[in-house]
Amino acid sequence: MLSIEGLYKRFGDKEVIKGLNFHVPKNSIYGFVGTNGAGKTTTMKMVLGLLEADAGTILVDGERVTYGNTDTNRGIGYLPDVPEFYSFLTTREYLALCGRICGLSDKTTKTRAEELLERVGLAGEKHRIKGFSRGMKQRLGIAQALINRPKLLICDEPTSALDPVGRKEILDILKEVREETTVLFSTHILSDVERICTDVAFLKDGVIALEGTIDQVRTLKSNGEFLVETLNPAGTEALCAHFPNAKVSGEQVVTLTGNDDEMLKVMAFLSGNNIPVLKVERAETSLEDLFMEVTKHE
Amino acid sequence: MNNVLFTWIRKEFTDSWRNGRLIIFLIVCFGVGLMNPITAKLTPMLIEMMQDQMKDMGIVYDPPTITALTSWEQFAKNIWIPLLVFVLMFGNIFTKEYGAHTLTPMVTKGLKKTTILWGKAIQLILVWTAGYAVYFGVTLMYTEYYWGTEDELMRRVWDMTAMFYLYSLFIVALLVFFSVLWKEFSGVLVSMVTVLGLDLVFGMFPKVAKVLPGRISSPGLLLQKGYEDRYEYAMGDFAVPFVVTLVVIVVLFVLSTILMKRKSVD
Ligand SMILES: Nc1ncnc2c1ncn2[C@@H]1O[C@H](COP(=O)(O)OP(=O)(O)O)[C@@H](O)[C@H]1O
Ligand SMILES: [Mg+2]
Repeated sequence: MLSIEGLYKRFGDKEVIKGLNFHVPKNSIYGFVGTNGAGKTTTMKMVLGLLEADAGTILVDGERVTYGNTDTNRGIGYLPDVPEFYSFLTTREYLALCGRICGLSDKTTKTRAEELLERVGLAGEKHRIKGFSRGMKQRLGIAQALINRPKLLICDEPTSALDPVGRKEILDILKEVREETTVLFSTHILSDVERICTDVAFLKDGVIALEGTIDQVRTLKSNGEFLVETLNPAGTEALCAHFPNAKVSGEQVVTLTGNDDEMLKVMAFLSGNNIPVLKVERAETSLEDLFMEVTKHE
Repeated sequence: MNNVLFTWIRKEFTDSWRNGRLIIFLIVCFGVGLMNPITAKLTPMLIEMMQDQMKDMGIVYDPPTITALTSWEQFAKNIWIPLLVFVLMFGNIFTKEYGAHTLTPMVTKGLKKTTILWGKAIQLILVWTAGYAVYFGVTLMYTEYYWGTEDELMRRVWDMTAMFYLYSLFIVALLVFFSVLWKEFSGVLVSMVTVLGLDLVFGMFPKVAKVLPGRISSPGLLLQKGYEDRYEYAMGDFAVPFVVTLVVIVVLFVLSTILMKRKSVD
């Protein structure tokens, strides 16, 4: 849906994006993760033709993005990081304006607007945008971005400024719209990614440090650790004595490394020696850990 | 007419209607326009009131004759007030959107930056024209009612009204141009004041003054005594700065359009 290759961008003598490559598959929810100032907004603005790239190609559905009035924007819906709308209009008037600008007929716009307001939970809102909270603006932001049924929805940190309830609402909406569009959203909140994303990329030092489906990324980095928690200290001692790579990692908890065969051997040893166990489990690497690992300074 | 441009202009008018600026501006134009004949009307009364005092002091004074001309002189003197109010009230229609980032969703939906520019420029011209028409109309109505303007004077009134209208379009063109160039309204204002200041400074050299737009900024000259005999001459005198101003306006709009295409508005 979106593919970026060899993208470069500098502001003055500060190189922000240094040869970025990544690919957003169709119908994915793609998490674009990076710390504050990593260059997420910069990258998105280049995809929208709002900023001029120094080098590289950006393709949206196979069509090349150019700086200025790029035609590729026809197929993109964009929710900026701090969305601001005309406060003197009501939600319906605003969406009508958006529809006209997209070249939709008034009738199409009207039905679409009602459908979207319903989806984002603003259908009962008859007032002007003036007094809207951040969360309401984000939801209206998603509605305006989807007005022309874009193939790609780009959201810049849609959840960062919201409380947990507001965040959940936005994430639920993004999850729902996946049926009709590909979603690319940036964030620095890892739990958001774990909740809804199918794919993820970590941006660090101007390049993608890690990219793939959530499952791929997890197994890629899971280094085959598994835990054994025994019922009594004797079991812990016996394990450590028998397996040289065993490490005590808690009270009666032993961490071992190895593939499934190794794990089976451990389990055979446990049953062969009648060692009572509370649990044996593979260690799941959380994205949080992964992110820390990827972004830690060497 | 271009459907998107029309939508855009309508959005601008909704804004200025709902935030009250449009109506306030028109009321100010009405009020200042009304003041011209009223001031003229009240002058003899004021002088009469002071006459007794003056007599005591030994000053004898012929009460001036008040005619339509007095009212039109007031009109010429106060003509810059509506324009100044207009610039201060509507001058930020570009820069307030840059600051609020409200254009980003529009541009990413395919709204052309030149449409933004022309929609706003047309809104500015329409609002200003309406206010100027009210200012002129009110003065005309009351002046006719009190004194009646003779044809010869009326011809000059039309000339000076048209002359200053062109000058005001020059101001609007400057406003648009600097609004494309800068992000902040303060920058726009400082630049405009600078240009008008330069116009004033160079206006002090008679040779240059004859061709500068500043020449047509004081249309009251067209009402001056002895002007009747020199009508043809005077019109010739104003012709050059008139054409220069016209050219400058066109150039400013062309430059604005070119620069707007390259401008980042998000
Ligand atoms: N217009 C600009 N001029 C100069 N530096 C900029 C500009 N925009 C962004 N930057 C710099 O580029 C870096 C990346 O910014 P940004 O893309 O906003 O990060 P993110 O969205 O990931 O938090 C930051 O260090 C920021 O200071
Ligand atoms: Mg950002």
